[in-house]
Amino acid sequence: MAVYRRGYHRYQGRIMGRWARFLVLPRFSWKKLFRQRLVVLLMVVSVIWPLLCAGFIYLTNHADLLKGLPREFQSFIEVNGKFFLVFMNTQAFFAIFLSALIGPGLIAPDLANNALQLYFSRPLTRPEYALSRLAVLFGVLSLITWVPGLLLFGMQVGMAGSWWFRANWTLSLGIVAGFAIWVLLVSMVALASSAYVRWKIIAGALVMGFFFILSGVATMINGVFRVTWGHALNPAWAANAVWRTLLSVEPIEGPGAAACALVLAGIILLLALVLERKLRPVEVIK
Amino acid sequence: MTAPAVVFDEVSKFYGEVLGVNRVTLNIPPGITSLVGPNGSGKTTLMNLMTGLIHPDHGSIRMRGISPRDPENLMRITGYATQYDAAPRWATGFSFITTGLLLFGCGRAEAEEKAWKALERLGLTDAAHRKVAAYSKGMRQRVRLAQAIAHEPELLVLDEPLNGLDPLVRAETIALFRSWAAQGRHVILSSHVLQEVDVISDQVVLIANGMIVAEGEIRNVRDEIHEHPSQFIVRCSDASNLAASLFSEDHITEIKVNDDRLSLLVMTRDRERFARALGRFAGDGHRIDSVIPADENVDALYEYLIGGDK
Amino acid sequence: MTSPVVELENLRVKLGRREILRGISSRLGVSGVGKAIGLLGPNGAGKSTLILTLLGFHKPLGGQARVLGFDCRSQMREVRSRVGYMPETDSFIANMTAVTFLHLMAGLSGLPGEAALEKAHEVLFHVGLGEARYRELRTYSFGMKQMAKLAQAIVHGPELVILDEPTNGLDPSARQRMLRLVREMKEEQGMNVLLCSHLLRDVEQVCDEVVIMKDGMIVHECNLEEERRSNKSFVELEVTGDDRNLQGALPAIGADGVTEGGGRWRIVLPPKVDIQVIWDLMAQQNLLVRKLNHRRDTLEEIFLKAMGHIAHTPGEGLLPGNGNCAAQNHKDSKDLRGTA
Repeated sequence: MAVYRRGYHRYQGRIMGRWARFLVLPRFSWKKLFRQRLVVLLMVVSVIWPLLCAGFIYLTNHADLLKGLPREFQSFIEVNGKFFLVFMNTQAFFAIFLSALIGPGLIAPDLANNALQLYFSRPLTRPEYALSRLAVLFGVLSLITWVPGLLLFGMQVGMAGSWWFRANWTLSLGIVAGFAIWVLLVSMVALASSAYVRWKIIAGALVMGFFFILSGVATMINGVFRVTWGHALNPAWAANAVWRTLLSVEPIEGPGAAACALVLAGIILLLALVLERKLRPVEVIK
Repeated sequence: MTAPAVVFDEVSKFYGEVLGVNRVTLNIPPGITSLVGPNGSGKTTLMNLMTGLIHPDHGSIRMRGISPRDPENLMRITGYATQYDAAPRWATGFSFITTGLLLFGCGRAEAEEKAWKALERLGLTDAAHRKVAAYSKGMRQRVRLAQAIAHEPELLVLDEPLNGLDPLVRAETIALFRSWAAQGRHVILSSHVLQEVDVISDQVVLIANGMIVAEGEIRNVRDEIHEHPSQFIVRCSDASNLAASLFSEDHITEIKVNDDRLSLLVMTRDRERFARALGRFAGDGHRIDSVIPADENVDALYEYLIGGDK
Repeated sequence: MTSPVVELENLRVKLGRREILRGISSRLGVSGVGKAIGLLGPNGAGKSTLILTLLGFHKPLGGQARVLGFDCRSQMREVRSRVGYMPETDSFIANMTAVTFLHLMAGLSGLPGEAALEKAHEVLFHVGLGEARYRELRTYSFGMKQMAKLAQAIVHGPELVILDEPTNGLDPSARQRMLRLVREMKEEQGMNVLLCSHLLRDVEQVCDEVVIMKDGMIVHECNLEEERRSNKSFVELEVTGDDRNLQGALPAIGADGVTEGGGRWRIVLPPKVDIQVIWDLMAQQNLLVRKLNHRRDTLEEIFLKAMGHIAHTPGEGLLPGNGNCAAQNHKDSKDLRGTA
């Protein structure tokens, strides 16, 4: 027989390395997110369009099936840059909705009750914290943007053959790069909104509002001053312009891709600065 | 003429189903009285009842002869400092207090003079014209106290007034309370720091679960608790022998020997006979180093009457 | 070879436009041995700033601060992985359960997955939140939130735990429990504790060393252990009976004293005189002894002297050559653990 003295003993075991520790926050967030029904529902809905696109790809590669369909429809479905552009436009919208749903719960709870000082009294720097929150969004949004995009690309390559790949391999880069910019932008908007607004619903509305309001502003500028550069201020339009160049689709009249990319980068930088101001563990009052 | 007192008569207050206080009867004379009890025991409810911020469901209250249902008269003689930290955002220390005084009907000059005096007493003259929002925690505490005393009230009701104050300011504030009490005013404060309560209070009110558990001067309260024998700590170089000798006394109920075998915890039912016995044993050659009563303080009272885990 | 837990070398820290810490140097604690260091001082002395600098939240203007041998700014990661912090302000994540919260904090401190969860449960039981650990933190009472804050500070078994006003707002039983936990941390778990508090009695109960700050400088350091072992300075006496003649009888035994009324006396015995003379005197005067105590300087008196409020502590002033607090105002580093 033995009497065991079990109670609290100071931990003196193995400590994990930096990358493993970095993933702790995202893993917690992901676990919590995927328990929420609304998130899962929205993700499922976001996958419908890629599935439809997959269907289209299947059709175009099986000409016999096309025979029965009208002529215009046949020319319509061709897997090229334009096809992927349409795909990206749709998924981009879902990305906004999803980040409006997920974003608000990421930073606001930490700020609401001064928990940041607990985070930063551990071996975690401010950039690491911000990046880990970004990673949460990046991970989820990737699942509905470039991951299905690449899968579609791969499917097409598989069905069409290597000649198609040799002709269109730049499209894969375009999909990934284009979506990367968009996901980064959307994530930053969501994080910034979460850092400044405590109530989830309002923060979510702010995320969506950011895009819609800017688009309205752009249209107004164009209308009032009779110019076209206003479009550059509309993130969706700007992203579209950049994608068009990346996917070798003819551009719409207005500011060029380079200018748009610059504007997007500028917005992201601004959001980063705005976010940084909020992530202080200690407030210094002058 | 009897001194004015704070009198509660079978007062109960419930917030819907939530208990505030249950059948409280109190008679508090002037001086420093401390309210002691665990969080949620009803201290803040009691204070709100005293100042008329809420009214009892049953029972009556008289604060130095005035009923809290007569706020016009009561608030003139009452100063209340809550434990919650709230001042208008636009207020500087000085304007915070001056505005309060103006509401009392003081003229502008009089209000400013009184405000300044209060700030001086609490040592806030340097920071008087800075915004309260920029004050440190201790300073905010002090400005709350300052606004409570500015109109020289007869009755001070203070919820945890020493919380967050550094030892110097604590000592100064306690001196302030003492001078106030010496003038025949009521200073009623609540505190969790029992050793301080011991040192500064004339009376103590112990409250738990919405009910008064004990009330009065600390030593008298202790005397009334018969279930617990008095405890003394005795240090002696030959403690074991002293213990043996003490056991022969019939008023001794229990003796514990400390690990270092140099001190004893003795429990006795009769303090006077114990003191005589000690004097005798000291004369008989036991070298008694020190004798300290272990439970004539609020800590012991708290433990006996309110309990809590140890 | 012993190394200090906290080592400061002419540390200067500026916040905004004001220089808060104005060149402090000190060596506190002994690494590897569980000791508690008390950090005292009036508001505005720079205690919080010092703590935040040690944690790497503020960058020093000049000088150096080292914790457990690591520089606080350039080796911030190493410092933070060995330190636990319990802040003074309310600090929690509202919609998490206590277990999830502790699990997260443990993981962030580097504990591997299963160990993190195990420790989360263990430490929650240890601080007394066992029954409530599956409830969300926003449902907790104030005292429970304090305990949760303590739990997250120790869950990763740090070498140094920094506690900022841990007993603030706690009711008496919770305060005793907190102090008991702090004592256990240093005595049983071998952790070092840096305790910042306004309640001198709490510090007296728990700490072995004390550092007193004022206006951004260290004005006094004191080794309480040595204080406790020191010579007794004078006698506090409380008697029942007629003590009117006592004053006159004191010089006969070579003692001096003053009464505070109500049978309370403070008596200074000459050195080498046995306490027995007091008992004989009591028997002679037909007085019953209610209380007989040898008084040392309390931490409060030491503090007041350091602040300049009193010229001498009672123990120091009454008998010459008596004083066991190492160092007075000092500018260079002083080794408190020194030989004695």
